[in-house]
Amino acid sequence: MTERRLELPQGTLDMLVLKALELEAMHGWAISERLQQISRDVIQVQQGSLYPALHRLERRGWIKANWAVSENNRRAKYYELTAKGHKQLATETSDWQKLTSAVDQILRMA
Amino acid sequence: MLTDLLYRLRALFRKDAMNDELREELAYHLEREAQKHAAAGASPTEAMRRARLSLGGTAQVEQRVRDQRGVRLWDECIADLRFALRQLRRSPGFTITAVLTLALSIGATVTMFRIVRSTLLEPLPYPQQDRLVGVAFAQPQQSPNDNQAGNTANFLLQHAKSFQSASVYTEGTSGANLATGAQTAQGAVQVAIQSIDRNFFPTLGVQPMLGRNFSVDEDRRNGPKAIILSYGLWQRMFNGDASIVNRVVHLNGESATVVGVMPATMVFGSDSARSLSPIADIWQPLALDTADPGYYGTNYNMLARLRDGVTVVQAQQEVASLNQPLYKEFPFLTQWLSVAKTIPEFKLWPLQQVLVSNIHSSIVALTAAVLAVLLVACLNLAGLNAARAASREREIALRTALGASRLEIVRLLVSESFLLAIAGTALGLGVASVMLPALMASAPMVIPRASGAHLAALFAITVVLVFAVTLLCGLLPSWLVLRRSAAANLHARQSAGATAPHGRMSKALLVSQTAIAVLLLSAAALLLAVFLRLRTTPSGVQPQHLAVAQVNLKGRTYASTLATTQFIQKVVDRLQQYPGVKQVAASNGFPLDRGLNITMPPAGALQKSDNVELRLVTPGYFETVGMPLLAGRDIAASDGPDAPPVIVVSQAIANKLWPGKSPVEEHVKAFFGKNSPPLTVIGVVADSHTHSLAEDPALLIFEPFAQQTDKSMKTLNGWFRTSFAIRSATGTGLAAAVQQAIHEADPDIPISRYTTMQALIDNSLARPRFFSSLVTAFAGFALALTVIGLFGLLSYQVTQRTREIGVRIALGSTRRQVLGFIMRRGLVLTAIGLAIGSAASLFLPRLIHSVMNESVYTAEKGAVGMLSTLPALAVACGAMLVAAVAASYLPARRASAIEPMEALRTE
Repeated sequence: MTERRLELPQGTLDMLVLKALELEAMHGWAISERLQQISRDVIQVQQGSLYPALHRLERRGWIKANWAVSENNRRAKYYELTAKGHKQLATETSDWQKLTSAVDQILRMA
Repeated sequence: MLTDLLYRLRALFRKDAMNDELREELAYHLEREAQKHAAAGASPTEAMRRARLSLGGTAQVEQRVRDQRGVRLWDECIADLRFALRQLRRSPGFTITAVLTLALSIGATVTMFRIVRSTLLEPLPYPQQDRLVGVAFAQPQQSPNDNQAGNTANFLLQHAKSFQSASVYTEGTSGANLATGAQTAQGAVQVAIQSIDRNFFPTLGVQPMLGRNFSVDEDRRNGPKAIILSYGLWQRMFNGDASIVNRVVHLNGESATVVGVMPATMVFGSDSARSLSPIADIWQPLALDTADPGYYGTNYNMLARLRDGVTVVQAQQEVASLNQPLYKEFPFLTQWLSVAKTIPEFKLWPLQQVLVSNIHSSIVALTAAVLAVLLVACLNLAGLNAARAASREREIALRTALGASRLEIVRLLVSESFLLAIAGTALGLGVASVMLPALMASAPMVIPRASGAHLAALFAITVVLVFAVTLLCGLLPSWLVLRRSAAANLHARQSAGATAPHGRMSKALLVSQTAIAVLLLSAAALLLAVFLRLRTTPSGVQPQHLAVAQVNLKGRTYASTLATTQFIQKVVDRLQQYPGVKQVAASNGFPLDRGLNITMPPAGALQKSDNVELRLVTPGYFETVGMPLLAGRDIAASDGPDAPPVIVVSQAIANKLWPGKSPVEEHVKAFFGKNSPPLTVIGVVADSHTHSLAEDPALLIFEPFAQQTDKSMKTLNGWFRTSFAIRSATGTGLAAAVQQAIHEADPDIPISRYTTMQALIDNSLARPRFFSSLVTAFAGFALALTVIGLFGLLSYQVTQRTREIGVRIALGSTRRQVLGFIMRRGLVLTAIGLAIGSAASLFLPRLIHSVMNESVYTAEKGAVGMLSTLPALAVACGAMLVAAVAASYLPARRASAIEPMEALRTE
């Protein structure tokens, strides 16, 4: 683990959480694990930031929460994407791609 | 949007449940994280430590999640309010005073608001009411009205093009005798009748609920007699009988057909000082005709509905363009109607303004007074709050040092005012619900009833009041605290005595309070002075033990002089035999009641601007009512129909027409009938008031009943009531005798009014009494508040400066010097307030003038002559000074009693 881990740019955590939830409902810890794994530990997800983000997304109606029994037979709060959340994820993803490709282009040209 | 709202609501109301869930969620996370570390080989405690480390502290995470809920501000406000509530509970004296003060002034404000709302703002209950206008032929400077002469109204009907429809009517109602029996006129009752033309209801846009409107024929002179009933009378007298339409009833002894019944919403009338009843029971066709006796006088009113697309301004221009043609067609108008220097012209206003114009400035003035009281109450509270905030300076400094932002400090300080405002307003609404009916009941003018659909408006005004009061009471003092840095605040306690900015603020508050209170006191003194002056103005008659009974002698039966005099003679003879009765006489038109006035000069020597009042009297009238005969003789029984016509004139006429010599045996031209022989003046009586005590004594001419022509008798009977003046030993207990005497003379004539002369006088003063007592109460309240404020401020300062005063005394100040020193502080502030308030008071007479003009009937001159500002101001300043001395003395005495040794130990 000599490689320096990257801080998430402001505002991208919400998008990553939505992406993580795109396929299936998950509870908070699983989301944090998933993000860690997928990014191959490159990105440092502050676990403490995850929960405020989840509640923010819930307030905006992009995800909804349900209590269910977890894989280790305990009660856990599962989050899943709403229809609005799917739409939001699509918008944010395309915005992100436009942005990164533009920034990419500038970096390559200059 | 909706999910967001639902989420926030859940965060507000299910806060505990949400916090529990969050805690469980985080616990689960820690557990799984620890399991992960344990699986990697860490000991259970080490695993848990690592888990906590990567999460970053549950308390912090919980706080950050709660911040995301969007209700943090709310939570903090609640906490502030709880704190404020504890603070208020700790000082119950302050809290109770503040809440009661606010409740009373807010109650008064809400009451006035509801009256303003239901009178000045409430739209008239007619379809497209904003298209309705009142059209006047009036002096240019007159307030909104719709007065018309018969010919000017007809001229408009013929020429004006701006109106979709227009109606001529009479504004006031008159008394009439209504009998429901089909055959006879027996058992007649007194009703209020209003004359309207057949366009009246269609112009307003109201249809009869039963039957029909008047036909063209019925609205024509000598047309078939028809009447329309009001809903109220239909219910009262006919029990809502639907078969009433086409029934024949007797009105003033003549048969008339009921053609319709109006719905309950149709209430139209004014509270003109001269009308008998504000709301009509019966409508009859006006049948406007050039042959009507009052055709050329301003005895009519006109309202109109504007044509679509025509604005009030355009319509005004159009009617103004008709002035010239009118004067060309009726050149005599310039002489007849020019009571003032200017000549009248056509003018129109929205009907709403016309209908409330006679109470408009009274309501505006009362509202201003109420708002002034509210302002004084708020300033008072602001002063008290400022003192409290000053004593909390250290607490506030500590909060600032611990990281509270300025906004948070203001919120904390304003919370208390907010709670006080809420409590005061809630109580104030209760006060208003008691005050409004009481005011309605005691008001001597008709205040149109509120229609009740004002909840939204009431809610709005309540919210506005709460916020205004909070801002005024809370924000001023907190601004004071905020101006200073935290460091200065922390040091605040180390300085003894009041700090400069704080002192300035308190002083400014107190000075403004005093100024407003002085303003209110001057207004009250002015109004009271007018009222007291009116009360002591002699009416010209002796009211003690003088009873008055009035009847309407209308209709065909009393269209002749003989029938009238016979009826009067029977009643007078019968009453005179009654034990205890000393004298009885009759008159057409009565002091402080209605009667005929004519602007036509009888001899040409009177200036055209004079109103001459004509009264018909029986022999002995002057002695009965107590008007002294100054020269010549009284009208005698021998001045009958065949004797030479005679008149008695009042002193005022005698002085005007025959200055410096006796008018007895002089001659004047007859009023009615151009070929009648000239009238001989046989006597002069002392002056009396005809309509109002505020006016100069009227120019009065008295003629005997017996010498009237049938035509003029019929006209006068049709317009005015016949009054019997009965002077007795006690003045009371005559009602039954009067009833019996009138019934014996004519069973079909009901008594229209039985009262005493004193009651007539009191009645004419009801409005000035009402306004002066209301404003006096307001002023007293403001004075009391100011005294409380001054007392509070000085007491607080004495407490703050105990040590300084102790040092002064220790260094040799005498107690007298300390007393003077503290009292001077109070009196200087009062003096500044007095100066400002007095300067502002100089503008009051104009305001009061318009109120008085509405509240006492004055033909032209008005009550302005009765207003003298200086004495009123002196009274106001005197009251304020006495109060200020009293309020300053107690704290000053306390200061002078300070023992130096104790004082130095107090810090």
